[in-house]
Amino acid sequence: MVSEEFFGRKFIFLSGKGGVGKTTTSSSIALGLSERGHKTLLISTDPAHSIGHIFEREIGPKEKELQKNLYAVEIDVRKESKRYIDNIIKEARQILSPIIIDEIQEQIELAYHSPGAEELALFDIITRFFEKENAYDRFVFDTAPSGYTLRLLALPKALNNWINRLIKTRINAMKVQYYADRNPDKTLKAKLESDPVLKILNRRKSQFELARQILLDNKKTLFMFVLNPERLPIEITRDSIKELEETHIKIEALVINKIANDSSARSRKEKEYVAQIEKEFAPRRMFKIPLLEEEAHGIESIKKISDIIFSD
Amino acid sequence: MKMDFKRFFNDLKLFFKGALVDTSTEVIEAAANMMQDNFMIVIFSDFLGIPNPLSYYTIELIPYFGNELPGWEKRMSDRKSVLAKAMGEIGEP
Repeated sequence: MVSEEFFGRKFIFLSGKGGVGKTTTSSSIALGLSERGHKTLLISTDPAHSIGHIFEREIGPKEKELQKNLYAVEIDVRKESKRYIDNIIKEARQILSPIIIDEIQEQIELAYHSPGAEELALFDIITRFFEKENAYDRFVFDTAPSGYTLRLLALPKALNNWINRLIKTRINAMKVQYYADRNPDKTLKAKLESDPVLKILNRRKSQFELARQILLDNKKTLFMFVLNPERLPIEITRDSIKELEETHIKIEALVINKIANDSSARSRKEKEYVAQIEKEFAPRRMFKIPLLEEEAHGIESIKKISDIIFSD
Repeated sequence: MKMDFKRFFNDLKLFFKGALVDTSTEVIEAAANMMQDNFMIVIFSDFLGIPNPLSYYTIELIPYFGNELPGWEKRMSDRKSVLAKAMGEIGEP
């Protein structure tokens, strides 16, 4: 399968530990796709704003056209999460008395630091793009939902049952409350329809369903892993792939990044590692990217990588 | 005489309403409160020290339970025992 066809999936995710070159690789893939006529959006959640550095442009949280067919956006997960929490407090202020607000504000703010908060905030950001999948031909993410989030999604029993049961419990509680009320102001049906709690639960339910449907569909979604030819990254990759594949998500390609090519001892060792990766992770597709002379800076520098990725 | 008759029936009506209807709404009310408490346990469990992996999402529901939240937390932490609570609900044998 030629590369262009291989990248014929609407959503492309790059996984890998920090510093291996996910942003450089995803920028190169996005560039290659846009040059081949696909309207592509590159989404970066790297807090270091590295795609701005690569494309030598200020990018920011609004989608920006960089050149024909190539768009990019930089999203700060922490900022998004802060906004989410602030909106909840704002909503609470409209409904509750100031005394109650004092009591619960701390608890709401605590959620910002709760375990998994950042992962779930990232998940919200990713699914927002799922909801507008028709706006672009390709979406390239320089990150992927965490293994933890994917596991939650992939196990239908975990998340689906949980949310369905919550919805059912809420409906039942409202029914019984309605029967206990001797002078109800609205019909039960009207109450259920206007209930903000059910609205939120149902919105989450459809978000989970859409995400599950897209992430587990390998005609629509491609997961890749970026690693460097070193011992530790290989081990991490092995564990991560195993973990993801248990959740039925296939890592279809590996990008072996920063391969030095000289006569040094280190380079010889790297060649061994590359051979090991190719053997161990076969038959997955491999993209081998040489170590650049300098840090990726400017479209020209990633053009070289893009040409390697799309060379066949 | 006629007036007394009417009064008697009215009292009788009130007696049955008090004995049957009011107590039954009370029972339903108690059930409704219990269901609400249970629902809140599932979504706000981390307030009670039970980890909730999705608390970042359920926090969104706080504004709609804010008024009940302080009372609920108190009820949950003050429960003497499960047995006493069950007896309170069904009445002692």
